[in-house]
Amino acid sequence: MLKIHPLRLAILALLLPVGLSGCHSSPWTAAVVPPAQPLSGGGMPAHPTLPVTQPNMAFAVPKPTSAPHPHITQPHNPLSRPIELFGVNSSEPAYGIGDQAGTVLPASFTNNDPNCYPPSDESDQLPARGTPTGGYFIPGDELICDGGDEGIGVAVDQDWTVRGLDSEDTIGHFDTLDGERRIQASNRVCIYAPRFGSVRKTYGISSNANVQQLAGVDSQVAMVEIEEVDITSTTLQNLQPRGQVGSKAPSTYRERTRGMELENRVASSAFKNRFSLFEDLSIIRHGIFDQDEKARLAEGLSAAESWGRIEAPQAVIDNLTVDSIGTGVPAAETVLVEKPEGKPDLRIVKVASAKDALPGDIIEFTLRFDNVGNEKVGNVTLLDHLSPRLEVIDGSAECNVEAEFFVTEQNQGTQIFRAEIVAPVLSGQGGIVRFKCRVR
Amino acid sequence: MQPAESSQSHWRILCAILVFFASQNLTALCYGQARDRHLQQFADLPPGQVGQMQLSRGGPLAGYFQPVRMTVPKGAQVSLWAEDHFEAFEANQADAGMLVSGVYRTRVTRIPGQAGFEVYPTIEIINRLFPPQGQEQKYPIPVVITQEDLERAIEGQFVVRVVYLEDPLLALPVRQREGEQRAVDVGPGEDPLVAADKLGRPMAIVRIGSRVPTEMLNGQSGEGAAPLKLYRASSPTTETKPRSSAQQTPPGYRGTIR
Repeated sequence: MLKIHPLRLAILALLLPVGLSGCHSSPWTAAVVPPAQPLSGGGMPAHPTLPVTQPNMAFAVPKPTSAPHPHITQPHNPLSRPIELFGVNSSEPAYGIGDQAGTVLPASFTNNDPNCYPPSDESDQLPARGTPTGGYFIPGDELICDGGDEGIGVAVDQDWTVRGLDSEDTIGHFDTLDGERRIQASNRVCIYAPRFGSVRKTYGISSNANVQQLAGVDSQVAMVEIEEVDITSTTLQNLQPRGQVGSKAPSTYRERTRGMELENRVASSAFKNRFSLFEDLSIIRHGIFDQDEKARLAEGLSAAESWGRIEAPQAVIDNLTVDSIGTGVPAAETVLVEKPEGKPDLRIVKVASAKDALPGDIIEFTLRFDNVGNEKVGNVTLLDHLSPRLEVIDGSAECNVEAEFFVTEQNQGTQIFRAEIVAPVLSGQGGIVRFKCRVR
Repeated sequence: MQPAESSQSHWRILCAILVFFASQNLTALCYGQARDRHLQQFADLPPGQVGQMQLSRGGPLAGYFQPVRMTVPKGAQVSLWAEDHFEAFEANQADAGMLVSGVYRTRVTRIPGQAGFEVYPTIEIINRLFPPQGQEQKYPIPVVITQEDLERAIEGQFVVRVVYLEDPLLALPVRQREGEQRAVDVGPGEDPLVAADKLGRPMAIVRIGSRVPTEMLNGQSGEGAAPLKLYRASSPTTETKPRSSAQQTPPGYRGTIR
């Protein structure tokens, strides 16, 4: 047994806070009293296990009075999938000015420190990335990222309420034959698109001491007499109303037009059956992964992945029992359900047409979804909560299978693109959804 | 109880007391970190000091020529102080690579509606970008000086602009036109650098005054100016002073790199 002298333990206890006081550093703060609050990126990270609901961010689609049966054998009805969305804007913790929220690292980075990247030996060149030898930060605030399921995991309730769909998240949810509703996140695509603003302050006092006053009156002209007085000679006939012509109050004429749904339903007019260079991959064309295209796919999956954070595609499958978490109500009855042996699964691959963009540029996103399970799935819905820097171009959405598209404005100005695949997706089948965005 | 055991017991009690007070200190320290902030850098600091403090933190900042695009109102002409003269640009834009912590003298002439006036803003770079390789000049730090800035400077006021990189998650969801830069005015008692830090990552401090550079008043040639990398010098230098033999081989790391 390790024995420590009590006196040493006491000294250690006294020195403990002193040692911890130097664990933070910020360039804008003195080392004596370093800050714990982030200066940029602001906000404490939300608790990862607590779904935060914000009713004011709800979709305009009315909530159904009764939840539709999730079984996919039901005929598809777009209104059977109304979604009430509750999002959470989670911001990653910041580490002080200059060490902004969201650090990125190369894809091949294997160091334990996720925020390191190799330093630059040549001052005029960007540091060669891929060799984890440094200890510096590369901020991620120059990138617009889209895809994946960051922050709080997305959950879809029985009544189609989507929770935890943060900005920049892209997920798809589907129903299985045994009635489960599952969620699959896409990979994450990053685009280099920095945007700048400025803060101005003016120093100095400017005053105007111009005072004007009446100097004098040069000439005074007084009225001498009234020379002519005109008296009234004739009187015009005044017309009075004979009667009340209209009896309706003005409020009657008020136009009563009921507000339409806020959702912008855009039907797919055509599907471009040609593949652009960035998406001309076997996994996009046929849904079959080809080893020879691994390098190109890795490049297209995350356009900035070489200088972005590791964003491997992850599968987050939530079952319906997620709603019971935290309720504290014990189960009153245990029901055993014998599930079929099928393994439903969905794969979503997302690629972007550009690696970098200036404000005003247009970027095309391609979402390839495939049923990689061994049974059909239904009510396949793809949801993409776009970055505040992106906006969907009207009429740009298309799909090679029958689908309906919705673009919803959120209160904070972001948009959510939703594609609902009408027909069930059989095992081994899939489709392609494309839409264009303008960089703000 | 034996004397030895009594001594050990006293040590344990003393140790427990010390641990208790140490934990109290730790709690107070954490509370202080959460509540108090002592800002170390302000926009009011002398030019170059913020950048130097940034360099002292280490990292890939030193020696990197960060592309900067300075834009002035249409009709005006912008010049950058390069080694010993003002390098004039034909258009109202000037592209150059500037070092972090370097303070660069610029000149704005032919100001619309302000004939005969010249303004000499300075640009201090305090951070850099990390664009994809080969795209450095496509994504410069935009320094936009408006007509209002110039007129205020001519009136004798001092304008400080802190250019910051927007946090994409906090960015305003509105479009931005080319050459446009959204500006936020802060009032007395507020520091533009601190305000910019809350909105994103401060990249440059632009100080716009109406003073003529001291070295020009003294007839000096601007020795000590930070190295500059001109990307698109268009017009020939008409105001170049004759270079002395000492200036032809400037000592140390200074001068224009072409």
